[in-house]
Amino acid sequence: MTLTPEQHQISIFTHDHLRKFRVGGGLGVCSQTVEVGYVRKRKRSPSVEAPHMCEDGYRLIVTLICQFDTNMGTPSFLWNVCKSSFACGLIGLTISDRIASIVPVQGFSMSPTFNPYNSRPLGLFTDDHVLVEKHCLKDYKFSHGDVVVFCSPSSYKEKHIKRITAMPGDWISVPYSYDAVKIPEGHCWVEGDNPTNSLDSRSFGPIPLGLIRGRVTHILWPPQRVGKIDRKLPGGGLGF
Amino acid sequence: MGTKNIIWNVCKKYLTIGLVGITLTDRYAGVCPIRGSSMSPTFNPSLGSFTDDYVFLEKFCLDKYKFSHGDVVIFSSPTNYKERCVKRIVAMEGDYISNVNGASKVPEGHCWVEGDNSASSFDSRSFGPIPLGLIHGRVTHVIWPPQRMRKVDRRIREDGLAF
Repeated sequence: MTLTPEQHQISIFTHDHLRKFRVGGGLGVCSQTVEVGYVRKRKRSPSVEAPHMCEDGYRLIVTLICQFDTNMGTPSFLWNVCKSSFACGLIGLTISDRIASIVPVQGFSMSPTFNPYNSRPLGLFTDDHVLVEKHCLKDYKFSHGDVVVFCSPSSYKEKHIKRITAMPGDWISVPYSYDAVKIPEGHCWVEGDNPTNSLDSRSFGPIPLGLIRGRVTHILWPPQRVGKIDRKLPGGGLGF
Repeated sequence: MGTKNIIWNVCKKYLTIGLVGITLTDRYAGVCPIRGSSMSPTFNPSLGSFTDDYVFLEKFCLDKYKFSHGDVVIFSSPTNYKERCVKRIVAMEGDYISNVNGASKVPEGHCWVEGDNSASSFDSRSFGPIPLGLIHGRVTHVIWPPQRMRKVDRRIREDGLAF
């Protein structure tokens, strides 16, 4: 068989779109499997130059057209999309479980820190959205003045957001009486910044620190209220 | 360039497996060793055994909290949030518990837990009812050592409920 050392464009059948190409087709070229190197997945028609010595001794430069077989093209694309979205979903879940997540704040128990009265409540779009970091849950380095998200002790399906005003060992003066309550070990006292409209430890008592699900660090929405949440020590919370 | 691709593929595979494992143990099921003898003879029946019991705990119950009397649960200790305890739920919210001060009602959203080995168990008789939000999972099977592999049943005790 005679060959001229020119460039031939040959249509090929791919077994594995990564590596091997079977060079075949008309023009009388030698047809055998040639390992030509990696083809980048996203290039639909790469041109790879791979010198191949034919039995006749001629160097044949082949410009390869990457062509998927008809029964292999669409499913592998769909499979790739599925794999990517699965991986993204997993990464998103892990990040929101263990590192940080964004939650909307509903209600006015933490005015004016969140949802101040002067902003019109229009539902989900004007609720404050805050960044809750969960890295603190590893070592529980909570302190006075942290704003935390915790599961409600009376209704375990709800989550509340309040500020810690007393830690274990502190004394709290119970409102409307002369008693003072010592916060037991492993518990904390939470209060909302807006005492008139807040269901907090003054109603359900100190909560175990194990109920806390995260610490609020920043407001992320609406844009005019973006900022860091400071640790504010309350004025009249500690009795002694 | 081939080596970099191989390394990247291996990394991706291990990262995916790791993420799947983390997500599964956080949200669906996990394995936990049991220490101490507060749940004898259900777990760790003999003090001198070489290995602690390992149990399989499922977290599907956390979605809707379908707990009931007799479930063995793992929860964060209310006195020391860094520790986890395993005990059995003896009473749910609304039930009455008899203790030394008379009968007290378990408040809403809480449950009363006690160990099977009443003599050496630090449980609700010391720290009171615990909020259901502290529970991390429900124990369903003992999976180690092999001779003690079995399902952990719901056992309802006769004493403990006053009314």
